[in-house]
Amino acid sequence: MLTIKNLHASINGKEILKGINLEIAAGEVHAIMGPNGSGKSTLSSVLAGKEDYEITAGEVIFRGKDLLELSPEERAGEGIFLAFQYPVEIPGVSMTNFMRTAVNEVRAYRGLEALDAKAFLTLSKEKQALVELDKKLAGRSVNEGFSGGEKKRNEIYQMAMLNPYLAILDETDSGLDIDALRIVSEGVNKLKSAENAFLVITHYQRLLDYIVPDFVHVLYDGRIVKTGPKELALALEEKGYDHIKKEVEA
Amino acid sequence: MLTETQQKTATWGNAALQSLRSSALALFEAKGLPEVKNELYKYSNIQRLFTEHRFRETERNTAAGELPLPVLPFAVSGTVVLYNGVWQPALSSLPAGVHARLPEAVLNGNDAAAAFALPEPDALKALALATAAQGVALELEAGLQLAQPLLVFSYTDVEDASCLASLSILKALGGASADVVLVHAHAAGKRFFAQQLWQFFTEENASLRVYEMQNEAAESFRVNHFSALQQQSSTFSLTTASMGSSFIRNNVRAEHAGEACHTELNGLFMPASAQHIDNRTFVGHMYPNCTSDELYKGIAAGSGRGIFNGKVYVARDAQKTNAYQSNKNVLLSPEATINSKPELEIYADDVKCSHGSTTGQLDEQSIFYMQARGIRRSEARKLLLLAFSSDVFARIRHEELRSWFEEQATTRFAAIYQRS
Repeated sequence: MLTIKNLHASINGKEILKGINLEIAAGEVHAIMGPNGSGKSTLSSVLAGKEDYEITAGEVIFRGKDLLELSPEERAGEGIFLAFQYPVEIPGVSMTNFMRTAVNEVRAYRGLEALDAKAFLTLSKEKQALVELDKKLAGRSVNEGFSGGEKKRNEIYQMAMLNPYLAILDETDSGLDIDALRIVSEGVNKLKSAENAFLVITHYQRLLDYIVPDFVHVLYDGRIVKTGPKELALALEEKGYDHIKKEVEA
Repeated sequence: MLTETQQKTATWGNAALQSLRSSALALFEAKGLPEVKNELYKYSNIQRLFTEHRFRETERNTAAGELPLPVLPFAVSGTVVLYNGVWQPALSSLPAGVHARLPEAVLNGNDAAAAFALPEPDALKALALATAAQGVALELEAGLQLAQPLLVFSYTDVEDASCLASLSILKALGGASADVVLVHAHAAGKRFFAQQLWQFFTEENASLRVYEMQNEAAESFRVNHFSALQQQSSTFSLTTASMGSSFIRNNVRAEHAGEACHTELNGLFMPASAQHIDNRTFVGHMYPNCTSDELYKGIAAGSGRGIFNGKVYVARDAQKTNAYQSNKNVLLSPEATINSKPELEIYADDVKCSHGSTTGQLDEQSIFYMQARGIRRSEARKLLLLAFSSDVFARIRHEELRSWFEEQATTRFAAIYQRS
């Protein structure tokens, strides 16, 4: 589904990603772990198409298309979804208007008819229930006045609404208490299928107790320095990232 | 430049009005058309406009046969038609409780002076006053509650490069309440410089809410002089949506003549291409216990220029005044300009007054967030502009009117993005 080859990216002349190679197939869950500053969030931003980054080398093929050629909205149309580490508050734009616009823009991109108000509402209710999102939030401005947990659940609700092929969860566990973490994870697990894939970016192993990865990659200094089964996450938790740093630098 | 011989001084009205007119003319002759040296017109060079477009007095029709009335998505309680600034009784239809006359019939002696005195040496207003055709004088009966808006439709059909002015009055008697919508249209392809003088009176407990949709084509150059004089416990609100014309100047003045008045001034101005939209407001708190609230939002695109200059004046006796003024702007292009100049002049000591002004750009984080959800960049920007303007619309209480303003603005946002 996704093939990343030798991806280099920099911001303001500073190289952050220094040759990422990664292959993700449908039905798989990949976790990327790594210390602060290793490039985890840069990787998710680059995949989603944030313009602040300059791609200096490499390629990203997503479902047969050159992802780097596409605008962020085209990538979303192709089926990439980024759950933001810090969901953005947009005062004055109601959740309903935002989500309905997004759903119908993506549908238009895929050559599908727009959902009418009733069909949208039915779908929306179903997906809100999935992450136990309070109905009241739908009437508010996007993420405005949402608690940390509500913002993250809102990200998963949006993911459910857009039904992507590849969902990238960027530190979705940060700022979540244990109950919110459970709700968010259960939501993700319900959305998992043989047709889609997840890239879970996290600093801690905790989230991976709930969303069990098929592969764990360790990102350090802009490269994937180690790949292993889910047990690798436990080892990291136990030994810390310093251990990896020493290993790499040795 | 307009010279003495080109002006056609109006002759209607009684002696008081004639005398007011002569002093206006004297002021205009002494000062001439304002240029930027004039503090009142610091950001708008009227003299240059006249030189460039050679606006002049012209012969014109004052009676219309038939006119294409605007199609509005809401029911109106009645329609008042002005043609080249002149009231057309035959084309107008009034709801029960609303009376229309010629301004000369209601402007007598002191009233005229009170209504159209020139508190500031504004030569442009003086020119308008000296030359104005008779618009209409509307009166809302005491206690009248108009459920649907009253439409005032002005149609301009003149020779190219004409300069014209019109004077109208709207008086809400005790306890009357109404929404009044001013809508304009004009014959295509003929440039004109049109000045409107509107004097609003709100008697005790009256509530008058006036809206103007300013969406004419580029041939239009428009200067509005809106003044309101409010008696005790009355409410006056004015909402302008400025998105058309090559040039717009809104001179807005509201003054309290009694206690417990409320004034609300709202404006959304969207200069694009090379448009110039200038808002100057003055709220005069002369009595205690009055409130005023101003909200002006500017969206400047292309090489458009938008201006807000608002002054709140609080007289020594106007204790317990609560005055709020806010101007927020968004610049959409590097060539766009916004000038913001809030002013407070306070002589009372027990008041709450505040003002704020911000100018920025659309938030790129928000745009990216929406793009990441599949929303095209242009759509994302439109949503943000709509969100930016939403608090101006939120102040329009009449639901269908609000939707209409929102729709017009949304269409405008789309047009801005097609161009840029």
